[in-house]
Amino acid sequence: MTAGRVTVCAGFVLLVAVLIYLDQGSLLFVVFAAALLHELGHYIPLKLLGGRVARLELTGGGLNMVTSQPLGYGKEILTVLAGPVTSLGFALLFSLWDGMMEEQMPLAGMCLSHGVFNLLPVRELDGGRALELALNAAGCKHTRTVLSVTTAVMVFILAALCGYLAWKTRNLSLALAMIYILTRR
Amino acid sequence: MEEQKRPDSVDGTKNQAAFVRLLVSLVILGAALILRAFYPDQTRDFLQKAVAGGMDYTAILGDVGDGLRAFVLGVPHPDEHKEAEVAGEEEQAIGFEQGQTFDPENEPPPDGVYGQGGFDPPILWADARLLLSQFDGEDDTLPLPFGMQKPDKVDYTVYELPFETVTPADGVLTSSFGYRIHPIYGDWRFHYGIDIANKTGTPIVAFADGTVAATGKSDGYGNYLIIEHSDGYVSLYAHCKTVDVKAGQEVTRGQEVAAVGSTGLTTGPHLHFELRRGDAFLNPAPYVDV
Repeated sequence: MTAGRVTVCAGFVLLVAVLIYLDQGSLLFVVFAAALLHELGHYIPLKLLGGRVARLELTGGGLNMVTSQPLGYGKEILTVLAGPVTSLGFALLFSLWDGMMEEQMPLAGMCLSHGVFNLLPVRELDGGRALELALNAAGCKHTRTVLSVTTAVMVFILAALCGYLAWKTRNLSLALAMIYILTRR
Repeated sequence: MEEQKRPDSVDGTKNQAAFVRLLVSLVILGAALILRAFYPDQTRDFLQKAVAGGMDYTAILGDVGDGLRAFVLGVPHPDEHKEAEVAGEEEQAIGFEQGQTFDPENEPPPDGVYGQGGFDPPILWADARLLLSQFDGEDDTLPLPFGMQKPDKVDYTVYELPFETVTPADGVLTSSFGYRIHPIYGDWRFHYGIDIANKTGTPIVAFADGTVAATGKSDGYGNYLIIEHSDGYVSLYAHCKTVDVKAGQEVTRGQEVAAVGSTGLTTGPHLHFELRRGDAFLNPAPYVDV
């Protein structure tokens, strides 16, 4: 469903439903605060560098900003990497600044996980996008192949890890999250 | 972040399918909200157990945050402060078999001060192992890096308690359940309870109905009392300024039983609160509101 420049996907609504259901207090706040800070990390440099947000998508995988008019490789890599860097910065801030708020440690953990996860060289994630841009900028002719390989390798490692954890902990949540991420597009 | 892929006019059937999907999801969201509003405990417990195995994600994320903080600030070498031995005969006097419960060394004072020194990566591994071992049922085989104590039996499951409870004291949560740097000894130790800091004299009330199993004074815990509840649940309140009840006395939920103090091994006034189920230490955090 689209309202103005904001698109809400079914997956987003489902994600909110699941989180509301599982929430033991502040989980919903922590997840969305971390996602919001991450996107602001993209948005502010994008604006500063003269980019424009064509659409904001609320998907099951989180918030997605769709940009119009390419900025050029250098600036685009900057705005792509600014998201995870912002997440890591806020992770440090929340973990080190005492007495900010009650949820600061969970928030620090979420920002750290979010930032690190987004740096993985997977096509859908910031790390993969930055790699793609960098390879294209360097004139590489096999960008698609390279990304397919890194994506496949990372997904295989993550799937193996999730499977192991699910088996070890009898906890299906990570495995379910993995299946969900793999099938969301 | 991605470049614009789709044209602005999406083809009709696709749009319709997306709309139906969204509608279904909205219905599910509505159902989640309604179920949560009217049957909060049953529905959440069911799903939590089915999907998450009773894991508290906020607590796990909090542990990640704590780990980051320890990593950045650096922590002292775990072997540095071994000499301190304060534990005494209190263990027997209190009448519980599990001596380590009452080992004052494991009881950190409130402010979670992190020491200076080099970072010790094995702690992250040990924490992860400990979490995994919860589900293995093979606690005894848990390998820990040298220099670290193996904790007594801990259980991260969030149970639905068979009795009504109240938060034992108002205040600020200053130390959580789990491995942490001991502010006095400076090494990694398992913290078997939570610390709620507040002014000296703040009332401490009984967590739930029960019988006072013991009251006493120890080097580590200061003035403490232990209340036995039904179904094998036991709660402990430590560092009290005064204890106002006697062993054997029946107490009701919310009854004032003691006052916050800083007796024993502390750096400031706080309540150290432990909750046990049988011989396992539970994380009290889900059952209190601070």
